Amino acid sequence: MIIHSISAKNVLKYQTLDLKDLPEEGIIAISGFNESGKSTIGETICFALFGRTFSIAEDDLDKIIRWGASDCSVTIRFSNQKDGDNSDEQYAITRMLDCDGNHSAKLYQVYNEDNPLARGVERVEETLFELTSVEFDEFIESFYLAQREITTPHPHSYALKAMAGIATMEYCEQGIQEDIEQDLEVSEELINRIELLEEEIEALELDDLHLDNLTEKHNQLVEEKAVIDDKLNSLNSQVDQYNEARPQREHYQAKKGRASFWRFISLLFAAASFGLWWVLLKMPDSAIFTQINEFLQANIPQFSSEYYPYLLYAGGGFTLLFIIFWAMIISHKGNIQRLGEAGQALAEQLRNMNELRNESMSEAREMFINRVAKSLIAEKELSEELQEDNAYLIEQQESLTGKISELTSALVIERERVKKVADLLEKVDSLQEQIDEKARRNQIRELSTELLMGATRHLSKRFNHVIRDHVSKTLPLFTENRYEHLQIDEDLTVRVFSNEKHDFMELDEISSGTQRQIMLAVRLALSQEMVSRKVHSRQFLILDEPFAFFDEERTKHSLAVLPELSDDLPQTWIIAQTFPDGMSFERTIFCEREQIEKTA
Amino acid sequence: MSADEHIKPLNMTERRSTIEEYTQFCLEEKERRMNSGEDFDEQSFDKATDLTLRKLKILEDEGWV
Repeated sequence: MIIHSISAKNVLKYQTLDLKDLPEEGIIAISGFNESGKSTIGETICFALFGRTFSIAEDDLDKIIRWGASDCSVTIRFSNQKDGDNSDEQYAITRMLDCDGNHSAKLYQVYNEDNPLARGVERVEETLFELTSVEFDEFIESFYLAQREITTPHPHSYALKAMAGIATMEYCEQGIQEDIEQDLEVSEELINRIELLEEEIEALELDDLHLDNLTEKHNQLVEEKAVIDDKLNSLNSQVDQYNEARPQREHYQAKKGRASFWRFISLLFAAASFGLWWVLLKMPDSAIFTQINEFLQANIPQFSSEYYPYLLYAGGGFTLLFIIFWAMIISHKGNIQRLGEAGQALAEQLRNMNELRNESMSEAREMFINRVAKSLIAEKELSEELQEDNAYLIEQQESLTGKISELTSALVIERERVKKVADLLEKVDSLQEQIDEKARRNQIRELSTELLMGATRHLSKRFNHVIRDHVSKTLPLFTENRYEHLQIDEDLTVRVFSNEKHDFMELDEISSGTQRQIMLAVRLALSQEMVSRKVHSRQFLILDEPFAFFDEERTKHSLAVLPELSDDLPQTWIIAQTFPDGMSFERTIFCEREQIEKTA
Repeated sequence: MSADEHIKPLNMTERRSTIEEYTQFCLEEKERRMNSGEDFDEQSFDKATDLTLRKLKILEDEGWV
C-alpha cells in the first residue's frame, strides 16, 4: 500500500490537513518541535485506514476530534499494486466521526466513488483486509513504528504469529482441540447412557435358559395334547367305524346262515336225486327198487322209466346249487371277518386307554372289550360304556390346553423380555461403536495437533532465522559494519555480535543509540517479512522518532541507508524533531505548534 | 539484470503458504518417523495430515491463510 494523498478535517490537532501528490518512493520527512503535530499525521493515516490509532483507545475515539469541533473526517487515497499487477488502480477511504459517537466509513475506487466497494465501519474493515491482507495489530507491529520506546514485539502477539505464518496453524490446532473436547464430552454422555441401559438390562434379570426351558416345556405339552387329540379322534373314529360295521356284519352273518341252510338242502336233494337214479337204473333186481317203483306208481303214475335220466340231471343241478351256496358262505365269511376288524381295532384302542389311564383291567372291562372285539356290543351299550373314556380324554385335553395357554402367555412375556434385552444390548453396542469411532477420530486428531505443534515450532524457528538473516543484512549498514550478527531466541530476546569485541553482547551492554539501531533493523526485518508472507505488495512505513539517541552521523547514515534496504518498502514516512542539515528528501513537511491548517 | 544493478538487501523473497509449509513439514516428518526404527502407523499419520490439510483449506477459503 502506497499513500497518495491525505485530506482531513478536525482530526486531532489540525483543523485541516491536506497532503497531496505524495511521492511513491523515497522519504517523506516530517519535522517540528514538540507538540507541533508531527505524530498527528501518522495517527491520521492510521485512523483513516483502521478507524483507530495507536495512542487513543477505542472507547476514547471522540478524542480524535479536534478540541472544540463536533465532528471530524478524513479521506486517504492509496494504491495497492500486488506483485505482477500492472494496474495503477487507486482506492480511497473516507471516514467520519462525530461527538455522539456516530462513526461512518466508505471504501471506493477513486474513479468510481458513487459505487463504493464497502460502506460502514465493519464492512470497510473487512474489505480493506481482503484488499491489503493487513489488520490493525499487524500494521502496528510492523509498518507503523509509533513514538515510543523501540522494543521487539511480544513473541506471542497475533501479529508476529501472522508474520511467521503460525497464526493459522495455531487457530487450526485450537479448532481440532475443540473438536477433541467436544467428542470427549459426547463420549462421556454416551458412557452415561450405556450405564443407564446396562442398569435397565440388569433390572430385567433375564435368565438365558428360561426361554429355552419354557419353549421345551411348551413343545412337550403340545406334543402330549396332540397325542390326546389323536386318541380322542381315533376313538371316535373307531367307534363310528364299529357302529357302521356291526349291523353290516350282522347282516352278513344272517345271510351266511341262510346260505348254509340252502347249501344243506341242496346237498340233500342232490344226494336223493343221485341215489334214486342209481337204484332205478342200476339195481332193478333189488328189493329197494321194487319198493320205490311201487311207491312211484302209486303216487306219480306218469313217472315212467323214460324219466329216469332226469334224476341224474336234477342231481347235477342240486350239486351246482350246493357249490353256489358254499361260495356265498365263503364270501360272507370274508365280509364278516373284514367288518369284524373294526371291533378288534376298537378293542385294542380300549386296552390302550387303560394303559393311558394307568388303570388295571377289571374282569368286567376285559369281558366288555372281548365282546367289542367280537362286535357283540350294540351302539347304545357301547356309547354308555365309552362315556368315561371320552370324558377322561376331554378332561386331559382341556387340562393340557389350559397349561399350553399359560405357557404361551409366559412365552410371549419372556420373548418380549428377551427382545427388550436384545434391543437394549443393540443400543449399547451402537453407543459403544460411536464411542470407539470418536476415540479413533480423537486419536487421529491428537496426532494432527502433534503435527501442527511440530510444524509451528519448525516455522517459528525458521522465522527467527529469516529475521536474523534480514537483520544481518541491514545492521552492518546502520552501524558502519561494527555489528553484523544477531542471536534471536524464541522469545525474541536479541543478542548482538560485536566485531570489535569478537563476542555476543546483551543489549544492555551496548549504547542506547546502538540498541535502537538494532531494534530498528529488527523492525524493518519484520516489515519485510510481513510483505513477503502476507501483503505481497509495495508498502509504506511510518517511523515516528526512530533516531532518538542517534548521533548526527548515525542519523545521516541511517537516512541514507533506509531507501536502499528494500524495493518492497519504497515509501517511508519519518518523523523527527530535526533532520541533519544538508539532507534532502522526496517531500519535507515542517510542523509548527500554532499551526492548525497544514497543506503540503 | 545488469551486473551494475544494485540488489537491495531486504528485497521480497517468496514465502510458502501455510498449507505448503505444513505439507512440506509433514513429508519430512513422515520420512523421519519411517526411518526412526520405531513403530510407525502410516495410515493414521496420513489421516491426521489429511484432516489438518482439510481444515487449513477451509481456513484458506475463509481468508485465514
